[in-house]
Amino acid sequence: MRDAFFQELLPLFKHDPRVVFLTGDLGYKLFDQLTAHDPRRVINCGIREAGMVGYAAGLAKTGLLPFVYSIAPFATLRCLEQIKIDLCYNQANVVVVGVGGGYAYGPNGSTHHGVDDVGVLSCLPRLTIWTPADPHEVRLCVRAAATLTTPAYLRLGRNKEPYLFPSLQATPDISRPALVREGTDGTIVASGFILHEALKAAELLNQVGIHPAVVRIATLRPFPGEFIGSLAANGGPLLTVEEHVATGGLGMETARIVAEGGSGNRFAMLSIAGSFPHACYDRASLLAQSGIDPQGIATAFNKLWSADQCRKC
Amino acid sequence: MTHQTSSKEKKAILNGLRRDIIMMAAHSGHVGVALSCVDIVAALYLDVMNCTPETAASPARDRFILSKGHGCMALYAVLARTGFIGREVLESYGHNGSILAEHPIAGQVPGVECATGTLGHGLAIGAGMARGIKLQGLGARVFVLLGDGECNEGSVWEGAALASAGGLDNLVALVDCNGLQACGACDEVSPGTQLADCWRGFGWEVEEADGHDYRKLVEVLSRPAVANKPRVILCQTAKGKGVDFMEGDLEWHYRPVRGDDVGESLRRLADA
Repeated sequence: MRDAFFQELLPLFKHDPRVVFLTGDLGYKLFDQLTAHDPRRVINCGIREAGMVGYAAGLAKTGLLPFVYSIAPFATLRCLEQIKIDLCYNQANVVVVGVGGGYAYGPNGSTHHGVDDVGVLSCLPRLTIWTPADPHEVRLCVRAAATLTTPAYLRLGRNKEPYLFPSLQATPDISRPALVREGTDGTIVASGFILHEALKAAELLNQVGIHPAVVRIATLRPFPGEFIGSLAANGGPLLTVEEHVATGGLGMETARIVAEGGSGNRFAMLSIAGSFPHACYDRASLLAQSGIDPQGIATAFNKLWSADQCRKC
Repeated sequence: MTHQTSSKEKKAILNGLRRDIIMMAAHSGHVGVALSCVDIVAALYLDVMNCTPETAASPARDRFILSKGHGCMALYAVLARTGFIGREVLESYGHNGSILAEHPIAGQVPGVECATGTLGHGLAIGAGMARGIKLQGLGARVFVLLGDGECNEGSVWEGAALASAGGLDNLVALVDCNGLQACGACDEVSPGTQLADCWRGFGWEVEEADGHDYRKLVEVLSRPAVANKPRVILCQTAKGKGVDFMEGDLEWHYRPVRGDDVGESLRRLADA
């Protein structure tokens, strides 16, 4: 996803003189091609995330289109007030790019995990939040940035995420939820690159005769409430999956809509526990511990589906 | 106000701005803050900056950011004086539904480039504006007014470093050095901190000026910058300047001007 971001940024940078790339001293060699094209529009702000976001707001206020880049927690919580005031309140069309969302930086520890970024940022008015699942979706987010009039947060993984969609042309519109796997036994809804695990879980479930549909959400804010409402109205069990703590994430927002809609679906949400890992783990281990690896997702959906079947008995 | 304006007329204008501040201050605290920085804001809008209501949307306009947003009564008074907002708008300050809040609201007040109020944000934004102006060859300057207490914020120094790294000689920071912050004197809160040395250490050209000497302020602000260096002017001021019983008294950081204090303040201004 990270490479896809830079690959897509390059043509935008070349063709749109408003684009300025700012980094908080991260991304060694990744932006060399930008620098080679126009070094004046590539700014290493140093290890100053708060200053970088304010600086970007100022650039945007003169008519430019800045992208600020850092590791997810540094690009978000470290400079939260600058995002709130300088970008959201002052309506600056800046794209904050956080690499390493979720547990992507697993062994680096909790300082580098981006498991609370979406929830915290979801409190802020005017901020678009993109949680793409594959490199093609990342490219579409970068393209969408060109027409922004308000700020956005782009949550990337690291650089290992495989393609989900066969081509850019075949990638669904990122601004709306999309059905990525047909099914008849309820729905798994996932946001971000945890979608890969959700799809693997659907395969595991197929092997035991359960066929959930899988929906991906690439734009988490504004939240696609109408879509979730109509999905819930169809009945059937509903499971949300996110590589994020529960607070402020996909599951809680979905739960609110399901509860308010009164559709009475069997509902469960899978998310990361609100605690710090006590030792060093890679991403796969952390996902398994959180129950959001393919097996954990499949088990949770099976339980939900089984309970729904009992209700019908 | 031009350089040819007589000192009597100048004094009348500045006194008028202070009267407006006193009248607004019935509805909020921070009167001492506004009185300490009003001469600086007036100098910028009346005699230094290339920014008028007619050019307010021009990409080539000079820009001002009141990073110490709690001093906004001074800015509102100057914006009314210069025609960005009507005088009647001043009377709505602090009232329900007014565009004039106790810290400037984003996108609502003509002449206000960006919302401020939480300290330590304005310098980095101003530096970004100055960089954007240079990148696009717009030929404008950016002025950012900070408080000396505000310089406690680490983010001020992130902005300072970004400005000098960018060689932003079209950026001018002004520090309203009234020596008092919310709970005490600045040099008691941060003993040993030498602001001039700090700015110099971050690569800025440093000047000091009497922040109530209008003519001197205009002269300093009109001077060309040293190439590739941002400039800071440490303005020596008095909190509550112009109303003798407010000067240097921290209580007037908080206390609204009401009742007998209104008439008394206006009398002291007239006598000053």
